Amino acid sequence: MECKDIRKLLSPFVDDELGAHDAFTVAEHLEVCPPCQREMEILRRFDERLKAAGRTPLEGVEELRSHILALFSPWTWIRRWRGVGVAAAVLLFLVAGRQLFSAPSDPEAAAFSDALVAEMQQNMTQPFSLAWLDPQSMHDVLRQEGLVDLPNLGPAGFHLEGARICYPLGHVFIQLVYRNRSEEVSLFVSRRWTRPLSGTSKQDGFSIVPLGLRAVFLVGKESLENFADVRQLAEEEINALTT
Amino acid sequence: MRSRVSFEKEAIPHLEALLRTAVRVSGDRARAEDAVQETYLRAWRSFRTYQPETNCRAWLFRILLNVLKKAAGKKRRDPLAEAEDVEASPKVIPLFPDADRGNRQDILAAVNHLGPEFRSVLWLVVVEGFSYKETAQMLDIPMGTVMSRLYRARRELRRWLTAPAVTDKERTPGHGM
Repeated sequence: MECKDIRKLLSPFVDDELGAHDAFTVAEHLEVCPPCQREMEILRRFDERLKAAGRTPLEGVEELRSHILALFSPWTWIRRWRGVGVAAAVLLFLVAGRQLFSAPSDPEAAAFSDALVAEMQQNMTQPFSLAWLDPQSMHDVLRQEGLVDLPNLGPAGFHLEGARICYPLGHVFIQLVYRNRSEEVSLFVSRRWTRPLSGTSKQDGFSIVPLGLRAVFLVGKESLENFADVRQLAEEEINALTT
Repeated sequence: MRSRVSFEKEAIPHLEALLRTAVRVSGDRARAEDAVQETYLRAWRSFRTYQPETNCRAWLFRILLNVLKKAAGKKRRDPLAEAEDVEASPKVIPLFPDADRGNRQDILAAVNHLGPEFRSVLWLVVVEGFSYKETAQMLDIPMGTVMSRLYRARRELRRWLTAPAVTDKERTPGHGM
């Protein structure tokens, strides 16, 4: 191998990147060729000086190190997400607080189960949008909501025909439909109003009957078909119960 | 999942090397610091998948070079071509009859005159001590390209540092590589 070929190999030679065969060839040549040997020494010395120059300590490294370490500090993340956290807390307070403060003051009062409310909330825009329940599902819902005794509370001579969950007055109700040979009535059950009633209130097909701790209202079929007409009445009745 | 303590222990010691490379490649201290910070954030995000037996340093450098490349892409410029003399470049590159003369700034200024692709290879291999294979992987180029660029970079530097004095203007990249 000639000097010009060897010199092309000096760069990988000083970097220890030559294969064994080439490295041996270069080393053998260097032993007998002072010019190439000098070339290699210059190369090595230059590398050493470049390395030394390049690795001269930089100023401000400690500050940057502290800054970067702070990026991984939990407190940094807390501070970084503090605004989002506060917003989330406010939102949670507004949502949960609305639920809490709109609940009845009666300590015995209890909302429907979370599952029922969640199901209802998917249909909040349509008060009567949920499907009728088959007898088994209805029984399951009533049992889940602690209302298993209600099917027996229909008017005398009426039988329970079906049930569904609904949202007629901005609150969750279970609608129980009773029928006899000629009439159909709905019993709307809510656990939201718990004031016991002393008697039965009847007005335009709208009834509120005493059921111990739970208030219900009974609506005739015709009234139900025009529920908007009785809505105000129902709300007045409910307000009367809760004030 | 690996811990923050583990990350700090393995990754933070390479900060200074990353910074000096970023400075050399980007040519701007502020951009270099931003790039290093972004490198650590990216590394931290993927640290859970990092295997302890792999080369943490090479991994960080690869992230850094990608960050610098991406940052330059946003400006539609090649960051490697953007290098300016961080240390005040001398008006005239001194003569060096052999490789033993010249101060730190002279040498770094000469390095900055190299074309970006040659400068990055030279820096990664000589200053940072990466192997040809690691350098090739970091820069996404073949090993043969690393070897040839390194050879040419060294030859060019030597030519500059031992040639008769010329003005800085004459040593612009167009006059060199």
